[in-house]
Amino acid sequence: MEESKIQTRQFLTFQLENETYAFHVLKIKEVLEVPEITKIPKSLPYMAGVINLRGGIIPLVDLRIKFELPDKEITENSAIIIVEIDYDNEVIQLGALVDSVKKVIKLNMEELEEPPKVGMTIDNRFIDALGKFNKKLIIILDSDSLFSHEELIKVSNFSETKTTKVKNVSSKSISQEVRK
Amino acid sequence: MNDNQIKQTYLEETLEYIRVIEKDTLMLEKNSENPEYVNEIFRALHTIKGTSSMLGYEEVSDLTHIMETHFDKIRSNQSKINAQLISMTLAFCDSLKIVMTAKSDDEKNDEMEHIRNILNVQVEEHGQKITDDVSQLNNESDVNKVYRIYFQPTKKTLMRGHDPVKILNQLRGLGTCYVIVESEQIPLLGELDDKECYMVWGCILVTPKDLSEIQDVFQFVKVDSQVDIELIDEGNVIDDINYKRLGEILVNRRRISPKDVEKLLSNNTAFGELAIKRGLISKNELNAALLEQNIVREERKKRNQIFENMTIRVKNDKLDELVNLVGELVTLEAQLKQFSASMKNTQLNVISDRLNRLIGELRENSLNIRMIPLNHIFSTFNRLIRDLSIQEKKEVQLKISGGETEVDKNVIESLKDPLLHIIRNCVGHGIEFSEERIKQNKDKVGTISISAQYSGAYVRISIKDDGKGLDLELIRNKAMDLKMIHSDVKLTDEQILNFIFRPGFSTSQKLSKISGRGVGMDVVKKNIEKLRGFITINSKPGEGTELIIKIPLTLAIIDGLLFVVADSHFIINLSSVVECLDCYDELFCNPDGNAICYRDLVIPCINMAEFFNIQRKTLDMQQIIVVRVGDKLLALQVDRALRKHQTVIKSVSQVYSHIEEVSGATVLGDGHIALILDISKIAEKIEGKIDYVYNEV
Repeated sequence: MEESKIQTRQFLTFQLENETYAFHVLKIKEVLEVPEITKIPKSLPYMAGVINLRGGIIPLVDLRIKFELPDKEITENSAIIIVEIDYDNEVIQLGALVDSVKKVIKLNMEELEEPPKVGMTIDNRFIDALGKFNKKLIIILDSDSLFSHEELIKVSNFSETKTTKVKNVSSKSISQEVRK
Repeated sequence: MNDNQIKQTYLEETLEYIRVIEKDTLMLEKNSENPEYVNEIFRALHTIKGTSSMLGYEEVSDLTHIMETHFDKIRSNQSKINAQLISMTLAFCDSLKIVMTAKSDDEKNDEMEHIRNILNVQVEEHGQKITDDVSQLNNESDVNKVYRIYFQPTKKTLMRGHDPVKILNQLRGLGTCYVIVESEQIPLLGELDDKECYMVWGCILVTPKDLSEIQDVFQFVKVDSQVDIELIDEGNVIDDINYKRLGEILVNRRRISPKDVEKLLSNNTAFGELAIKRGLISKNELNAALLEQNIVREERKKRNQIFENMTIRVKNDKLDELVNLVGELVTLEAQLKQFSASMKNTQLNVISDRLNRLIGELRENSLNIRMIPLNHIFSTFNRLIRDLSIQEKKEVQLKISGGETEVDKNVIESLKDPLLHIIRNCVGHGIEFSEERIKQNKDKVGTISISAQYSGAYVRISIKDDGKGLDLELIRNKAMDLKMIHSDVKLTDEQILNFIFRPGFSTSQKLSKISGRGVGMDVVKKNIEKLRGFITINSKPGEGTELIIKIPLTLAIIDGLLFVVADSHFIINLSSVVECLDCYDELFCNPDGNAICYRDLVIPCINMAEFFNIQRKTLDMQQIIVVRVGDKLLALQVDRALRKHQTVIKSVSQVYSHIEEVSGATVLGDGHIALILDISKIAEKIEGKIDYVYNEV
């Protein structure tokens, strides 16, 4: 604990497309290979579904889709990072699907920088700070705001608009009025 | 047990006793004659007094004591139950509850002061000081003891003008008294001396009083009569309820010598009859002994029952943990079963089968532990109705049936608020004022009946009032005002009634004042649906309204029907499944394939793949599952219905909670996840989008 004055913290880095991102290690429960994913119908596109983690059911977020990156098949390098997040004042576990996991690095807190207001590939609300490691830029993500209630259920009437193709709606006027 | 645990137990117990007192007080209000309730209240107060004092809550103990004194007076017929006492008792209960759950000392002390005020008012009305009674009562316990009394008056007794019958009556006043007269000594009429007493009375007295009080009865006659009083059962709880053998009793009563008993016992015939035959005892003496034996046995049995009915208190968390573990076990067992089926090893199969049965039983049992009777909440409604009817100045009575129906504890907890709400609405808006009721030729007193019964894997609870019913026209107009419907749309009565479950519909004060219920009925509906239940409403103007709630018995593990659509596994509650059919074109009664002919009905059919936007490669043989939603039928078009599955319900995580069609998930034997579907939600989504055509083929 004597080193605490130097203020270094550990981060787990991972790859998405060409960028390197990181989560704070204290937020991470474990890293998994990609198991079978069960899709949940009528959910948002980046809500990839649920996985079975030793009998527990864990929701999964596809970070590629979340960050609006081009689609890519799951490879053997793909991995799921299980993070613990504060969700509506409750700690829950959630899996983040990423292209590949790199390694755990130590960063000096003083060398971290504020994210720039513009010019980032992803929304800077999700960025905690920027760091450098081996001359490479590391984007440190803020897992709590990335996986907040608003982000995960954001367009909750999405399911209403896009699905249920039911034909022959004779009493359309009622249904639309009534179902609102 | 550490201090905190003791306090927790004390708290739980006391609250339980307060509940008992409340319940009995309300019963007394209805039927003041029944001494059972007085006794039960007395016992409960006594216990609260005792435990409070044991834990050093002297103030609670003292205040409870005053309350207890009131009931003791009623018990001993010194005073009568009146409305004041009932109100006082209920107020006392309320305050004591607050004291028990008070978070700060200030709150506690304030409430204590309040109790003191409640009790003091009553003291003044009685015009006497309660404290005087304290010393009198302190020594008394409420446990029944059994005494044997032998009373033989002599000539002198009668000469002095004492009447044995009066003395016996006095004994009867002390408790339950069984008297056997030994009249063998009465001579023939010619030899009868009318101043002599030939009778001997043997009494068995069951009373909580002390020996000295019984001796007092004989104070004036004991000089010249033979009076033997013996305590034969001290009122302790003994494991063995059997009292002494007949021989022993007779020896005890000095009717027969031990030697004779031994002699008689060496024979195998019934002891009593033999003794009579031999002329050792009279029939009367035998009867007296048998009576004694029976009474003591009965008393002991009663006391033991009180003890046996006492339950072990287990923390809720522990029970939940147990059920969780059983859930894990069920999942694991499904894996084993699947594995053993693929191994084709006979021995393994046998083990797996046995395990299957055993776990099934374990599951039933552990879920059963969590089941508690609905009376748990129903009994609190008596109080609610009483308060509400005073508040609303209406006369209302509550009828409860089926309170013994058992439901999972967690279900009961979440059921309480919706039921409270419905009852409040019944009293507030459903039942009319007495004058109005009389005008309409109805009974002056309004009735709310709550009944519960099992119905498959569900419990059906009906709350019915005989009030004025809902005004369909008003609801319809209101719905139009809120732009929920167009003015030209035709709706069935049922559809109109269902508007009261709409959020936002009820908030209008105007509606709730004029036409009735509706304050927060949407919340009620939501809560019931959270329990995977349904709520329906029937109402007839002038006749009343009935709300029917159907809730599953348990929330943890259900029997489900597993089916697949493409690669996705789904489960629906087996209890809602009516039939599984093969799907062929002729079944559909319209070209769009959204309705099928089933028996003589046309029922809507949902293509699950389309409904959930699931991509499917091949379209081979499909199947149809007919399900019942409330009182409607619905067909689900699926790829294949697989099998019955013991489903351990797990949450699909909060992040999916907005997807109403999916109510949970479960892990299958092979590790796949199957989603548990809420059919009623699916039906709701589809309702109005498909023509519902009934009975019109």
